[in-house]
Amino acid sequence: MPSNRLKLAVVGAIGLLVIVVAVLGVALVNRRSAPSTAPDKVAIEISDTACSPNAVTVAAGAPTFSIKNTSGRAIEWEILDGVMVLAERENIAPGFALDVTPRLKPGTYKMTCGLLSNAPGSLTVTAADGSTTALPAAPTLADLVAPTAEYRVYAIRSAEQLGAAATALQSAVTAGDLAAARTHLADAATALAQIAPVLHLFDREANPLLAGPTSFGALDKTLAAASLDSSTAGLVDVTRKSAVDLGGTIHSTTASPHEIVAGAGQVVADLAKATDFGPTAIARIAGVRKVIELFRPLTARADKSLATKLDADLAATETALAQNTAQPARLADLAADLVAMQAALGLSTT
Amino acid sequence: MFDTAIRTITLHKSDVPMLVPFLIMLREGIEASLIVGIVASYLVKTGRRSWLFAVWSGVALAVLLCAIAGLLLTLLNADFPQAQQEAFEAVIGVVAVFMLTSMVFWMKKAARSMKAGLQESIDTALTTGSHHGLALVGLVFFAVAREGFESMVFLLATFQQSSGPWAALGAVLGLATAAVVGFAIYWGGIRINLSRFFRWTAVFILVVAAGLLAQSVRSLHEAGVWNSLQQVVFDWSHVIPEDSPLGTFLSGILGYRDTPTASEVIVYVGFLLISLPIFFGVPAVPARPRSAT
Repeated sequence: MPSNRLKLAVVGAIGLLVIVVAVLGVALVNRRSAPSTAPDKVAIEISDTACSPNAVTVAAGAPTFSIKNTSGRAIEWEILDGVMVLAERENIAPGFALDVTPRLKPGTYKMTCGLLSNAPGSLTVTAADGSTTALPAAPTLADLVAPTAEYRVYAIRSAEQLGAAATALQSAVTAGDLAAARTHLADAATALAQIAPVLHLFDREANPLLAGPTSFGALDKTLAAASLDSSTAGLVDVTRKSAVDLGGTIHSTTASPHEIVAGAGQVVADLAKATDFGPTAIARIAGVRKVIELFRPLTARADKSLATKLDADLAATETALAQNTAQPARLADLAADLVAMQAALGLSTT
Repeated sequence: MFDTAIRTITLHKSDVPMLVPFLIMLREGIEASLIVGIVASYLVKTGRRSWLFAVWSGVALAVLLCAIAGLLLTLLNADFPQAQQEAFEAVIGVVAVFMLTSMVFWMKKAARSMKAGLQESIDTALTTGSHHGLALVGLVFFAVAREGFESMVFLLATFQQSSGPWAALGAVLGLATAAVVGFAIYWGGIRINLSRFFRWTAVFILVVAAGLLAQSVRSLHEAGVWNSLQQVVFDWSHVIPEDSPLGTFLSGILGYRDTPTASEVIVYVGFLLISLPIFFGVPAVPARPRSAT
């Protein structure tokens, strides 16, 4: 099927690769005189019946094991954590010594020693302080991807609710239905309060939803005065447009895990300082709860007691707010917990 | 009673440093040459001899690229990435199982639709375009690459580590023997009578595919991905050791393991229990479709 020109190209490519192989081969032959010896190799010999030494202790990190096969059979050497293979090298022929440099966390593992019927060896990996318990794992970037993405979905959904409520608010004002307008205004304010943790990413002063006569607080007073006139309709129109804009901005912005957690802490700290909690405090704490819950597995892995304390302080704050009893001390506790959570997750302020 | 025999074998092996490298390379080589041989004979049998150039090119490119990768790894003194290698083997293994199986069922369809014995009619039955051929050449390339990198690293180790030339010689002879096995499968495949080819080669390919699938499960375990059902079902490492000549052959061709785990056995047996009855036309559902008209 292939054309002659294609055949020629393939043959040419093969010829080129042959030359590369030859060059590399010559380089290897010339280099062979310089033996590579890592000074801190852990030598393990595997005989027909056992590993020698059969119990090895190394420091965590990337130790190099030099596995020498002194048995008469081809063997493979594995480091096992339970049944899971942490590191492995196959096809070690008799008389061969091969290096394996696995990354190892503190803990106690098994190593296979040739035949299945041979007793497995033990491998102890110690931390810098000599302990074998695994260090509390700060989340990696990959760990943070899932909760961050889930929060993004939550923020987008809340912004959609905000947009829908603001549109309904405008219709109600146009129709002159004051009661409906107040309901929709409250809904919009709740939706906005839920995403308070990420609002600090945007310019608060310039946002008509957060400042000036079109902010929900100002609108609430306007509606409370029961004065529905053309100026109210104008204000509400700006509100609707701003709400839709915000939805678009949230859609196109990806808040970092640091911004989300720090933002949640800021929301609580602001509330703790406030003299009047306002009607949206419960919704704001609901938004904070979302952040805490999404990152909870990672927080618990890094610092179990902190995760427990966060749950307790959050529940206490919610109870206090639900009973309408102002407890700035509770909020201050929660704000401090969130700062600690940020540190535990490795989301430093820098 | 086996003990004496084992001791003899063990002693024998230590005395001949050629044997183990020979068998290791033979196994790795057979795993690749088997697929190449099957694909090549299939292409010829289905009237696409012109694709053979592409097959050999795929083999040559894979071998050379693996040689370069192996040389670079050895030159840089880098650690062999065993976990990544295992993951690669598992992925290619599953793709190969899929392609081999579809080949088998395609052959069955083609055999039924044509008049027996008329080889030329296959050409007309073969309306598949070049996509099919390209996919098969791709399979050949990856099947060789799958074993080639690890083999190259092993081969270089035999040159660097052994005191004499025997280990390296054994390894090279192992690869050569594997190539011979591949050619034998190819020659056997194109010589066999067409209807037999379709029937018995198909069974052989399905068994090969079962072995590949079980091996992929094992590779996934060794890559640290699959960790369920890892209890060893039986330990035959004293009966037919995997690194003995017989064990090597069985393992290279049929996917034999001397200490298989539950998941490997389930996958191997399960694959055959499903594919063989379908192939031989045991009705999966009581209502059987109209037979050949």
